[in-house]
Amino acid sequence: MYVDDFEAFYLAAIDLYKARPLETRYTIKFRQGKVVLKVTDDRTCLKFKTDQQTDLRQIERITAIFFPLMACGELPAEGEQ
Amino acid sequence: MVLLEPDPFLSELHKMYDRNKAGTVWVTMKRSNMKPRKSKKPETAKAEYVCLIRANDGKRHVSTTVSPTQYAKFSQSMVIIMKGAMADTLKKKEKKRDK
Repeated sequence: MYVDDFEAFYLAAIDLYKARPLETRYTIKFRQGKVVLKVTDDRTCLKFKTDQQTDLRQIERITAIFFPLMACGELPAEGEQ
Repeated sequence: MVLLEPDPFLSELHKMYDRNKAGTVWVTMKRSNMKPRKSKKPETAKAEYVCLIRANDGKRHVSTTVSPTQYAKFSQSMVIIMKGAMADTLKKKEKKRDK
């Protein structure tokens, strides 16, 4: 599902991740002149597409938030062996 | 799939973007515990979550893991590489829609 508004995409993506931290992945697909961001947990799929240079700042922002979330985010409550 | 240290991964990523000026590059991030098949100390396994990053251009795959202590520096470098690769090809037309 494509989300047109970045702000909505950003918030929904983080919610999705927090609901299932271990099953959610974040992909940045780059093809000449086009960037597609995808966040999915294999149940819900959120995508954001842009070809505007001004959106680079937003891409930078969401990437920068996913790093701390994924490297040291909260451990899942039920995810123990 | 080659699992690299963060620094070699970044230079591979840079090369990958360079080689694929007309192609597609995917970069995927997820949270993973990279658990070995047989763990002798199950108690320590809990804390060992890292961020797994993979890059793929359809021909080659490289991957790396970033621990909570390393991510800040890594994330900066990766964003710089990505921006460098993307900036030239995206449209400059400003729509005044950010902020």
